[in-house]
Amino acid sequence: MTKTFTENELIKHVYGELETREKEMLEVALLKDEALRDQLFELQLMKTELDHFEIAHSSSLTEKIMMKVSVMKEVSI
Amino acid sequence: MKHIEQSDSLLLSQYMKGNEEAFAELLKRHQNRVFSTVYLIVKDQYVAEDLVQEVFIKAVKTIKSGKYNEEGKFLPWVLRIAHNLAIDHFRKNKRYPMIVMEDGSNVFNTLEFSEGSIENAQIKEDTYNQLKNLIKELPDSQREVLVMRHYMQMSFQDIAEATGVSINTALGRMRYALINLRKKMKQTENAYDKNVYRK
Repeated sequence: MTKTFTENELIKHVYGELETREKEMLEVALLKDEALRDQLFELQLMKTELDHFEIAHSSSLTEKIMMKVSVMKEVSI
Repeated sequence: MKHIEQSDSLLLSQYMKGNEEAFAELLKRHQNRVFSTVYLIVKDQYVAEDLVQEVFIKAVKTIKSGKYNEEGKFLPWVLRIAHNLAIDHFRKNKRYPMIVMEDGSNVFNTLEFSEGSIENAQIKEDTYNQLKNLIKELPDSQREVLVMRHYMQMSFQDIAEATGVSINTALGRMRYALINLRKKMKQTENAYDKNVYRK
């Protein structure tokens, strides 16, 4: 019998937190259930988008930090 | 010659011995992630930049005082400092700060638009702006889980414990965050397509 998967279990799978046994059962369920495949696809698509998303900071930030770190070094000397 | 990347702990030990360049490398390696974490909590470019400076100064002080625990990993440790400072700032202000409108001149300087045409770069920049705004619009509880999972690399169990909710609630919040973002991205894409391809 095919196990019914909850939406939260799909999220666990998307983030690689599903146990091996459950993962195997999900793979079987995915073969039979088109709606489940669509659901998973949408979640994975958004997760991938977020994986590549980092917010940019101003170019001077690195310089400011390094300057402060250097001042700390001089003070400690 | 093949470049072999040094581990964070090796760079840290070099920094402890006085090699400033080792710290510069650590900073270069992790500042984007730290900045993203802080920014998505305080939602203000300038406040986030001030806080990120504080984060790394605090980290340096701890390292220099010999209190840094080598057993832990550098990035999760720095991200925890970042998260705590951002939350402290949020609590002190007792409200979400006003969203600062960037003029765009220096915001995208660390984005990599190395490949493709100018149009591709424009599309990437539009997507970046869109996603950045959509994440900011998410309910606090969903954005918190997103930051913890994506930028702080915490497991859902850890997130549940840190936020005092059940793992199912943490998973549900992440699910709603992804669904909300995807839905809004689609809506914007459709609106964009209609404008571009209008006959």
